[in-house]
Amino acid sequence: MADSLHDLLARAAGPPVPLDLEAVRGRGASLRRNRRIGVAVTGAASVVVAVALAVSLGNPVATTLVPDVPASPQPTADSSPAASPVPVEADGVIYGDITVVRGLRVTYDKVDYLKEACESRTKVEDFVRGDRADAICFRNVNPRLRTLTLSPAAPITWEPETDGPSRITAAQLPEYVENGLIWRMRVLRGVVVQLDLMRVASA
Amino acid sequence: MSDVEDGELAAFCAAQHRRLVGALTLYCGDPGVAAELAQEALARACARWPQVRSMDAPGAWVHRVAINLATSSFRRRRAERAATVRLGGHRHPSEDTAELSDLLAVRRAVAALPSRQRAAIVLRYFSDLSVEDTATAMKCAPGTVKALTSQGITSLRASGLADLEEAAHG
Repeated sequence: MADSLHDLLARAAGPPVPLDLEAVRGRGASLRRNRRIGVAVTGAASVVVAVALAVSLGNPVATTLVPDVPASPQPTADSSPAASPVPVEADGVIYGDITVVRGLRVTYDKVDYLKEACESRTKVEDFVRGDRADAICFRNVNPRLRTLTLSPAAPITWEPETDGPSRITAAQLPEYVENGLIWRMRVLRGVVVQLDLMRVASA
Repeated sequence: MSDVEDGELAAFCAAQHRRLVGALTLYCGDPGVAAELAQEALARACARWPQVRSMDAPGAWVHRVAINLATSSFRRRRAERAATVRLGGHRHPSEDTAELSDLLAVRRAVAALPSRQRAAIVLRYFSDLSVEDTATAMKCAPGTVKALTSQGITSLRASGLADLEEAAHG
């Protein structure tokens, strides 16, 4: 062959495929909306969570902050099921597919890591179908167990992309959350104090 | 978004889409996955269009996003699933032609390159980005792009793919 590299690559890249501009616009609008909501409520939620954390840990400084906190949390479009300050998840490590982030409130599908025979049995029990049950199973037994507050100081690790960050902040989380990604959450007194994206290989 | 901005966005997507799909096909080796990832990269541009349109090299930016998406194993895996569903598991018609073996040989040779060399080769010689824009897309120095490109061409030449003298100086 005596072709130039340009020609070779152009042929190997294959024929053009049609652009679905409406799909691009729709997905872009969704990303924009998520980011806007996240930025809007992060500030207020940070204060509420910081105070709640400090109070729950017995920090005397927290009591001086309480008067600065609004008597009731700022309402958000979907805050009603998540408004309870009562811890809704046992302490420890849980796994979840985070579906929504509103400020520091994360809503997730709880995930169990179940493999081989356990996975097959659970899939039958839960009527799980399709590729979502790929070595893992999603169980949503109790809707109250699906919303948690994220500590503003929680370290969040993200799968590093090429030249991308391996750590992100709570404020950045809405940009990184997509359905289908599994996160490991360390929970302490109803607050997520550490969040790590799980790699497929470790599932 | 104003009508002007919206029109610019549509033009940008139309101009970049084919280059993105081609670059991603070469980078990750699968046209179906490439189409999904190209759409996602353009959606990212859409979501930040006021910022992206004011960049010096918005094309380089969206290529960087696309390469990053392809590098992310999670996203790649999800795109593979979506592509399988969308395409119904059928191969692309062009891959049933007599040119299939040549086409796959080129893709295999490109795929065998280390990822940074592969990105540099694809961005420079398929997407036609300048050395500077490729450096922007890869977040590295122009000198690094030249080095990666040279190494990549040496490897491709060693694979017996083509007479790449012209490209080596391009």
